[in-house]
Amino acid sequence: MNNFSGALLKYLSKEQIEKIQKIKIGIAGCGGLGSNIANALVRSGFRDFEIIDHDAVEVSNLNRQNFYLDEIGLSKVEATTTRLIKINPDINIAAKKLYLDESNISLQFKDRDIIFEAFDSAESKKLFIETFGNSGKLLILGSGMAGISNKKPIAVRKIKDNIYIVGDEEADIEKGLPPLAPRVIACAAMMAGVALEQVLGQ
Amino acid sequence: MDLIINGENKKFGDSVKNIELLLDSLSVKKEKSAVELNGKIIDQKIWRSSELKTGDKLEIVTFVGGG
Repeated sequence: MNNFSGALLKYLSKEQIEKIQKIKIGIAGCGGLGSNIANALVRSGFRDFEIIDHDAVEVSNLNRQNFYLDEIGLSKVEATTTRLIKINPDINIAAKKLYLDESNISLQFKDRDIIFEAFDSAESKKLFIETFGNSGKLLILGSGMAGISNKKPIAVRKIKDNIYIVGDEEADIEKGLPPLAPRVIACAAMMAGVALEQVLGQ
Repeated sequence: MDLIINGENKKFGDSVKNIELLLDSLSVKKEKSAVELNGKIIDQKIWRSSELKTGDKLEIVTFVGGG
C-alpha cells in the first residue's frame, strides 16, 4: 500500500478497499463526464482503468472538463493518465487515443467489470447500450446534464439489473443548453457513486 | 394488447405487432433511443422482427446530448 491507499483506511475498511481495487473500470469518452468520473473513481481507490477518447484538450473544455491550461493540445487520455498518477501512483491506466464508432466499439473493454458511457451525443449513447447491454457487465450511462436549472434534478434510474442511467434525461445540449461545470460534474460524480455503491454492496 | 412500458401498464391495438411499430405509435426518436424487452436490450437492426405480445415488459430510453 502506498501513502494514498493507506490513507483510504481512514474512511474505508481494508475489505472495502480490497473489493474496490479488484475492479476493472472502462470509460468510453474522457470529456465532461469521463474526466470527472476518472477523478472521482481514482480518489475512491479504484486503480485499474481502460479509458478511450480520440480528442485533444481545448481551452473551451476547461469550463467543465477536468483539465488545466498547461494541458491544452495534449490528448485527453494522456493528460488524464499523467494527472491521476499524482493522486495514486499505483493506478494502471490503459489510455487509448481512438475514435469509437460502430466499427470498433465492440472490440473494446472486453475484460472490464464496469463500463461508463461518457460520450456527448445521444446517438453514441444508444450505440453504447446496444453494444454492451447484454454483456452482463455493469453499465453506467449519462443522459441530461446541460443547462443551469435543477428543476428536473439529476437522478439515477435503474433500467435493468446491470444498467443505470444518470441525469435528468431531458436537458439536451442540442437544444442550445450549455454544458456547465455544476451539473456535468454532479452527474459524473453520481455515476462514479453508482459504481461504488454496487461494488461495496450498499 | 397490454404492455408494461417503463413500469406503466398501457393498452395498445393489435396493429402494434413489433418494437418498430410500437416506437412509431409513441413517436419515439428512434435514432436516439434504446429498447429493453423482457430483460434484454434489443438492437435496432431487429426491432421490426421483434414481435410483441400481451404482458411484455419494455423499457424505452431516449437519450439526450451532453457529456
